[in-house]
Amino acid sequence: MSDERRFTLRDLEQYDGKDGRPAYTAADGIVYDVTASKMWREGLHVRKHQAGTDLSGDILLAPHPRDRLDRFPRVGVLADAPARAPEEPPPVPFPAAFLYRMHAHPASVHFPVALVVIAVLLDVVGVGLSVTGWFGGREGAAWFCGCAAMVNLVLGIALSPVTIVSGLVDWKYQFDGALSRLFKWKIGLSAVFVVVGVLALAAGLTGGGAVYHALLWSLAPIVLATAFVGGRIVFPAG
Amino acid sequence: MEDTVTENKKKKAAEIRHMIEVARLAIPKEREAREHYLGASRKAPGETSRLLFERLAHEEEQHELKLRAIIRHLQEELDGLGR
Repeated sequence: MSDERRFTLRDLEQYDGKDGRPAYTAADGIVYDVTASKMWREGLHVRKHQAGTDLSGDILLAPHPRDRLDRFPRVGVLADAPARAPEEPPPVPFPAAFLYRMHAHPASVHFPVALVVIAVLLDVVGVGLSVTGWFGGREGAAWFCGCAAMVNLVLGIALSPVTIVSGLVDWKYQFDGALSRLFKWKIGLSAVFVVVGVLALAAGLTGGGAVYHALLWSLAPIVLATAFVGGRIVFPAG
Repeated sequence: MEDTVTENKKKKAAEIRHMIEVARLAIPKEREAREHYLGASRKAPGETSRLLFERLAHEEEQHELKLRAIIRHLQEELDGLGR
């Protein structure tokens, strides 16, 4: 049994540094005497942290290292410090671990993006050729571009489930499934992409027309915005 | 007066959410770095390099744990603002 003085949180409150009282503060279960520090006048540190309290959490956000507190006299331990085990990363179950290990999301994510953008470009060229009548017009190169656009669209939409599922796995196990601003955008845009993509596909397979072209062309900004948000997640410093 | 308090709370919450997001995006980087060093330690040709890479891998692991602790603390602070 240690001879060190044991403080409760209530004991600690008495040492708030005000009105000439000593200023004690606690971090990670250790109580320090900071009374002599100029940075703790009247028990207040940087106008934010009050002596007489457990600052274990706040010290994590401090601009100085944790061991700065070790410069001050240690006067005891906090008896009722909440036990806080380090938060370990969650275990990854088998199928998800396989996708994660194989880097399935980064490997697959470029296919739907590239295929859909190529589909849109081919379709734009096809419509242009059809309107101008160049290179054989509607029955010539325009027809070929239209078919090629459709093939790219089919492949892009067909591959998107792999990308989306592997992306969800990465989100869950790399980022703890946190719904922060970027992930809300990424998931929302992916859902819009699937809906618009399937509608474009359906419109294209049932005769095409202006609705098909409008839906297909709208996929380009959607898929590029999704890719942009993905880039912000993977390369946050960029 | 109440509007100012609410406005300050909103600003504080936005700042905390930003800090959480930045910390969370950094976790996979720490993990990748750790796996990189662990891989290097497994292939290390000698004892000195193996120990160096193991130490670096351990440091990356500690960074991840620290980031997780920071996120947990910030999340508690954020939850407290909502009360």
